[in-house]
Amino acid sequence: MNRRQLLKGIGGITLALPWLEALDGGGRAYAQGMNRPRRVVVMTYQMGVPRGVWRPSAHGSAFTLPYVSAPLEPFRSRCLFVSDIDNRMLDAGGSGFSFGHPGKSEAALTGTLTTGAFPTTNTNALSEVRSDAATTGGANSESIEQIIGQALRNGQPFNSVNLGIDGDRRTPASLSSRFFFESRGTAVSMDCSPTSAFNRFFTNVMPMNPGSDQALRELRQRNKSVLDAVRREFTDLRQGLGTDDRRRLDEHAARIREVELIAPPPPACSQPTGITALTNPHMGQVAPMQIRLLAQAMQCNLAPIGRIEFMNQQSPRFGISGLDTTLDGAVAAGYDWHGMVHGDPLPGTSTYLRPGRDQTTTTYDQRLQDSYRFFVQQFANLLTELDRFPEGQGTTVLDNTLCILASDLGEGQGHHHGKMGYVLAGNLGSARRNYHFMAGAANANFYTASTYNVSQLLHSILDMAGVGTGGGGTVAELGLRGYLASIGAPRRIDGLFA
Amino acid sequence: MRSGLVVVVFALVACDGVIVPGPGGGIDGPLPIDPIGGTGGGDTTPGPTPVERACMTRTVATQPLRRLTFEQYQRTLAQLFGTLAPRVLTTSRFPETTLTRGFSADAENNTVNTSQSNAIEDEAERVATVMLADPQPFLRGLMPCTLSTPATDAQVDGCVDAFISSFGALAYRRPTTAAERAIAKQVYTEVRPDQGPAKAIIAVTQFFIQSPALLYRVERGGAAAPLAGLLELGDHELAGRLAFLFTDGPPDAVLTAAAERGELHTKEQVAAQARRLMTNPTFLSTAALFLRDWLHLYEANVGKDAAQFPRYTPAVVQSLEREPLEALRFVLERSDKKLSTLLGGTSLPVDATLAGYYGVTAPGAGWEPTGLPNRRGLLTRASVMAALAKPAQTGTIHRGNFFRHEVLCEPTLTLPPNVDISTPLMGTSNLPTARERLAPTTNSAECRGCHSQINPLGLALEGYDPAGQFRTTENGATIDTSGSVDVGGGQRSFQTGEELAGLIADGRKARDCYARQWFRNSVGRIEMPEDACSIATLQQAFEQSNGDLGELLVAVTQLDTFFYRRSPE
Repeated sequence: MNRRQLLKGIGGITLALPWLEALDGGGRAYAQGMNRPRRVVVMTYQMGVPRGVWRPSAHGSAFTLPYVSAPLEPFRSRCLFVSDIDNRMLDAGGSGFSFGHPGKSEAALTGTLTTGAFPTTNTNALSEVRSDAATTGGANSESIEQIIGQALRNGQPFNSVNLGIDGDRRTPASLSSRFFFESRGTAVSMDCSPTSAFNRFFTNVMPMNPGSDQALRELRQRNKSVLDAVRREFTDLRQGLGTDDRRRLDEHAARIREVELIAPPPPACSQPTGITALTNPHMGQVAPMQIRLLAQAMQCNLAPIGRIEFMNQQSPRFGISGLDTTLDGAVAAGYDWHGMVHGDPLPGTSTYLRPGRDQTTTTYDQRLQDSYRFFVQQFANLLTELDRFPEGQGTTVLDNTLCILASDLGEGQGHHHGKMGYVLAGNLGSARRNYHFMAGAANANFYTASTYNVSQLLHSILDMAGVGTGGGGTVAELGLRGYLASIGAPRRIDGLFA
Repeated sequence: MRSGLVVVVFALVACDGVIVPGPGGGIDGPLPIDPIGGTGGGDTTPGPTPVERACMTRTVATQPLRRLTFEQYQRTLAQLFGTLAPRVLTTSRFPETTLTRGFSADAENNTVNTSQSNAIEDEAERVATVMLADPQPFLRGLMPCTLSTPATDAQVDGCVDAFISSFGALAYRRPTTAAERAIAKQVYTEVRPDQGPAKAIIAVTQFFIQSPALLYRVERGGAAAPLAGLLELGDHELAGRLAFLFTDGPPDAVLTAAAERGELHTKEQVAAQARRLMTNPTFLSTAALFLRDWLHLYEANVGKDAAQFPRYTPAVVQSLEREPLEALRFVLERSDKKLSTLLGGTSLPVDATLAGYYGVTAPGAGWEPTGLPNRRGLLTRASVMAALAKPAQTGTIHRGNFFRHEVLCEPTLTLPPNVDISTPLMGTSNLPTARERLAPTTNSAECRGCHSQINPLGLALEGYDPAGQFRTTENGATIDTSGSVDVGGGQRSFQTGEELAGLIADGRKARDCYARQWFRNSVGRIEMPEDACSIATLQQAFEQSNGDLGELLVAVTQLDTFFYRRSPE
């Protein structure tokens, strides 16, 4: 039975997870008696965080969640909030990386610049950043969930489950991620059609159904022979090539499918329901389907990595009536959610929508708050879905999953990389829960440097996953190499750990 | 195509008032000006010319390994399957090329993630499935032996080695090595016992069309070049470079034969083939792909606000997509082949649909050169103006920055370190024209340094609305499109977008920039410091040809970067 035939079993509402048992053994061996997460799930969106209505009220455990973050109240005991953290590494790329969106999404989970900032052959080091660094291209290294997921992979049929939600109200088969990278410059393809994703992961995904058992056996034999030959050709071809060319070939070769026998699984998990095709859907229609798909895929242990990205966020619709009506009415004047994030006045008005835009505005417009809260709500919904599935002794899929909510910017007004916010949840290894870690002064302007940087947070997350230098892996320095040393900062944030 | 484009657009247009480097940014220092042929003034001091200075150290940059683009793979399959190609090219699962920078063939635009790797496998399996459904025509069409109908097992067995040699050479764009033939033969050997010779041959085919030697344009070089640290490319490797540059596909039979005879390694031989390939019917569409990527014409697919622009219909969009190709066809085949005509000609082609859109009398059937009021050259045509605009806004800053950075290749602007962009923008959304809306912010002391270089270009193009239609007013107010620009040789004034296009078309900067863009396209990467000599040489050659589009491409094939590669480290 090959991978595709295995997946046919999922369509039949049966899939076993023999590899889960193997994982249990490894997990119990994890440091300090903590279970190592079995998987990592990341949700991303653009436009940053409105600190005044997003940030928990106090550093430490005695905090309340303001309006935008309030949907996570049911999970606060399993969450670690990190606020006011900077991605100062971006300054190394010059002014192109300092303001606006370019390079920001790519940096949020990689801690490095885009490929346009480096010569063709490079080691992702601070010393190699070009003096005329361009913001073009994908991130110059893999993103953190890729590192973690590859370390956690243990026989799952897919590398990852990658689902997009297109703010442009389309459901294209796929879009290239701005946040997630499998390797240098290689963005992950996000499945943006729930029905296509459903077919890919939960139905008979064999593209050319051979029609009989014999035909299936023959197909499998041919594919195995062919792909084995392709691998041999990769090995032959790389001889005598330069370092960068060999890297490209090796990365491609590593992504070729494994056509191997897998023991027939007993019944264990089922298909997600309610996955239907939609026309011009708003994000509030697509997100629940993608969340259900991802949670079910994680429960079925189809992959060690789950990703959800809200994409094309210039002018999305949320499914929030007052907000969407405002955006519908203002779009003809060139106004959109992006303008709202900046805090610009609505067309025909002179009232700014967020504090800091003038002396008199002291509150966030309710519609702006609602838009940001939407993404937190979706993350809470994802946690809820993951928590529905028992897994292990008295624990759920959520308890075995390291979950991350991330965005590209800090405060949206300046489109700057200062004072960003992350939420971590689920299995965080030995890190704190029910905790808010403020990485900078509460009321600092977002240009004022915080104490901690995103690069340190990413290293800390590696440690939470047990794949950092102290947790059983051999991950080299993450992100823009040499940056933390150049500013004299430690590699991780000790305050995040108990 | 290009699912990622929308987000690229988003990044660029999101922030009017914030300086954002355009895509494809690279080494944007002062352009070398050749005092011999230049019209732009420039260096009059005695001493070496800019080309001589740039070439004091002749070398080439590291050339990254390039994977075939979607289009190149389709053309490869078409060549491999010949008359049978229509059977296998009906659909494709091969991953589409997603632009994150520069041109389609940029190595960074064709990396392979897991989904794409799987899609390549699926595409090869799909083709094999088509063959399996009716194998006999494929056996007879692909195998280089005389086969009966149906072919016997013995005939197929007896021809497998010849098939692997001939099909492999075509697939790999060079003769195969013994090791490569052995790898392919092993597929046949493994499948043949249980499934018979026909299915085994099809499995070998399935292997070849996803083999990395086909998917990647591997260039190893051979003999040491006369320049230190460089290797000369072999004849077959040069055949590949020529073929992909001029036809966006694999070498044709003439190129391959020349390479096999060892007659494709001198500059004269390469130039002769370059001139021949420009007569290939595929050349025009290949050059049009360059225009598409250079001018970001793919961004037109974001559409326009239907309520504001009801005339921007699917039929118009279809004709607009074809407009650049027809302009290029006219210049190359019916006019003087000059860049100045492409960018500044007063009579480029329209079809009946676009004639209606532009408000002029329709030509006869097909595409005919037609003078359009208030426009000159391709840059002010609706295809370009609409592509560079937002769905409901012109994108003044984006258009201006694009012209400055991608058409004139001016250096990337750097935001001064003391600018605090959190400073509230003025509430100007109710002012009638872009000039008035932008003035309070971009005329400020801290912003003026950069925006004085961007705004005049963008404001000149305000005469073309987001759908590319000409206009003289916005919100009831007259649009002021006047300004000045240095197109080479100092500041020149203009009153309209049409005049701006004329200045650009005749200016040295646009010619140098066009040459630089073709260089980027030809090497599939951003230029590096080591490319300085090649770029300066190319710009000089283009200048000396008076901006001849064909001669520019021949000159590309005469550069050090075309003949040599760096020795692997």
